[in-house]
Amino acid sequence: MQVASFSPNWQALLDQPLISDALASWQKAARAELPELRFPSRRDEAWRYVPHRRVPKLKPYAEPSQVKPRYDHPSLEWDVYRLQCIDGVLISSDVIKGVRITPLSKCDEEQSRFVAHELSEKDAWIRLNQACLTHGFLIEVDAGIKVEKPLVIIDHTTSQVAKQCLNARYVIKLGEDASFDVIMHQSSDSDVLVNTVSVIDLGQRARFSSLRIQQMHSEALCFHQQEVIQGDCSEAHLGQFLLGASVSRDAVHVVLQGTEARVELSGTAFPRTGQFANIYSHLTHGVPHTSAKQQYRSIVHDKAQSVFYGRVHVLPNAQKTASYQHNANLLLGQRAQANSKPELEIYADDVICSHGSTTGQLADDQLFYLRSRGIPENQASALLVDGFAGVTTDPWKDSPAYDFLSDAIALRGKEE
Amino acid sequence: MSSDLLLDIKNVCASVEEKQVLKGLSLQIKPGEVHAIMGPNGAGKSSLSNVLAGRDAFKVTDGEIAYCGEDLLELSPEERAHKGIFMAFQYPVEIPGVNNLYFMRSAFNAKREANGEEPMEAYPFMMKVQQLCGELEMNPDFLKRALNDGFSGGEKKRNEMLQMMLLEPKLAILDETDSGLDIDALRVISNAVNSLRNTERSFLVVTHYQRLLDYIKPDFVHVLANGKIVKSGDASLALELEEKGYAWINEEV
Repeated sequence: MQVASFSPNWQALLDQPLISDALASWQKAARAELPELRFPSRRDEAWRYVPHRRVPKLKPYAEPSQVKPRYDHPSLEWDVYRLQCIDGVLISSDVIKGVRITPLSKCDEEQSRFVAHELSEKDAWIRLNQACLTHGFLIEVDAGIKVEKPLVIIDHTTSQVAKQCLNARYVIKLGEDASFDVIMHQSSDSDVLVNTVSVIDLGQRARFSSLRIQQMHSEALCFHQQEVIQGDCSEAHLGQFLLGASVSRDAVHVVLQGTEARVELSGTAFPRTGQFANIYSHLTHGVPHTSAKQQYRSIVHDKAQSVFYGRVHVLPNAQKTASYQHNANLLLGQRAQANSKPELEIYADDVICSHGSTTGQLADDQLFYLRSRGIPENQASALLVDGFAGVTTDPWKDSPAYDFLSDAIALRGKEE
Repeated sequence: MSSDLLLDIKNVCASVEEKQVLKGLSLQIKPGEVHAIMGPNGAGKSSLSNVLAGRDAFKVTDGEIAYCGEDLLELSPEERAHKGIFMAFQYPVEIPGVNNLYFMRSAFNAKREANGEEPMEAYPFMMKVQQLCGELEMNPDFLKRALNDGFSGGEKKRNEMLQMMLLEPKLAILDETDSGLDIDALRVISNAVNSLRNTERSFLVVTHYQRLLDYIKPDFVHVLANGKIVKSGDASLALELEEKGYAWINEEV
């Protein structure tokens, strides 16, 4: 599939205004390349199950003339900083000491060079993002700055931009010894396609966490590709929770290129009937003494489909790597489908790597135990579903978004 | 049927996975009575408990069970719990990810709501549970953990007793609750049962060993063998069994 086939007026897509002068040449390069590029399909292992035929004919992004802020966002009750972006328009951004938040359109030459980071994954969706950027930010945390409260990034689209294709890019750079937490809440009221790229760069001993909660409209499409580059002794916690959208793919590529770098990943894909949700994780252990722990789950309603693809790549010199991966899938209907593909590619000999995958239904003995205590069957099932996802939400217990996340998962369990 | 019976089991036959496990079992329990069921392995002791609690896999093929004058077999497991049946499991199920305290409050309030009462708020509930933990010599930290997840055998059984004390059943079935317990845990659990004994509440204590009955004095002892009750008597029957084993029963019947 080429860009022309999913957007009848793709030329209009490519004729959108460039985001800034500083990024113009970078965007133009992608625009020149894009018409010839083939979009990933069944032939590409990393995208194998994604139902591309469901990508609708899309309209290019048109910035709405009026955008209303959200006064009902759950984070208004949390003790956090907020950055609010509605329909691709920046509404508000809190000031944080030692942190510079710059819209991509306002980045200077030097900042733009950083934004134009070439990802190691290269596919047409990433090129489309580059060519047709609609919004995004560069967030720079100065060396030694420990930000005490998380920053909530609210990226919401309303029906004003229905059927449009939005391309967002978030670039976050932490200096040495910095500490920063982000909660990314992506939601929509209508059928848009949001194609987001995130780039995270962690300096030595930096500590970073990103909790991503995707709650898009049930007809929306949501692609997210994130690259995390970790320096020496840095630490990252990444969460991916896919609780919406008709077609959703959330990919993370962690490049552990500093010794003693550690990463922990957790997430749950929870597609409803007829929906598709795909978590893709790719770890590159590039140097000795790095470690990773992955805990992913899917909960699949009847006639829904989930995919977990977990690739662990240990380079020849990356001795003493410790990498653990687990994926468990819970099928809630006869026609629910979970695909799980762990893939270990190890070129070093002194490493500890393990992976495991299980797929099953709700356990009868657990259901009976709860019912025998008087808990009605539907409530008992919901409790077990919550408990199943709990393994992936537990690492976020200290986050102000934890209750919101737990409730969102519980609600999704009851929706059908 | 006489109306003063809490439980009236008449000639019940039951099977699990095509295998017949109860073969015409009859038993009557009045309010306030403690009945002990003893018997060799494979006699059907746990099958009886599971049939009463309503586990799907146990199919009743013949006979009747009346509970408070109502047809028990028509009730779902949760309805049975709402009406006061409680089974302490021989092997309490581990449920990772489900918080113990949250589970207990859900169970407690489900019963209250089914009986037309207001649910109890989180804080007074926690105070109530913590007090019960004290009585069971149980560390309240267990309330914060996932339900039975990684609990030792003794901790699981204490947790069962905690649920029993919370739910205040009319009929408590202890399915080999004493198995795998050390002497201290046995004492604590027996104290819990004895503290709940009154003229309304009945117990069905299923056990292999006489030992538990030193602590929980039964009014009646029944021997279950080959799917039915083959001998009934008072507490002295348990002592006789302890002395002679079960072999003589088979000879006698």
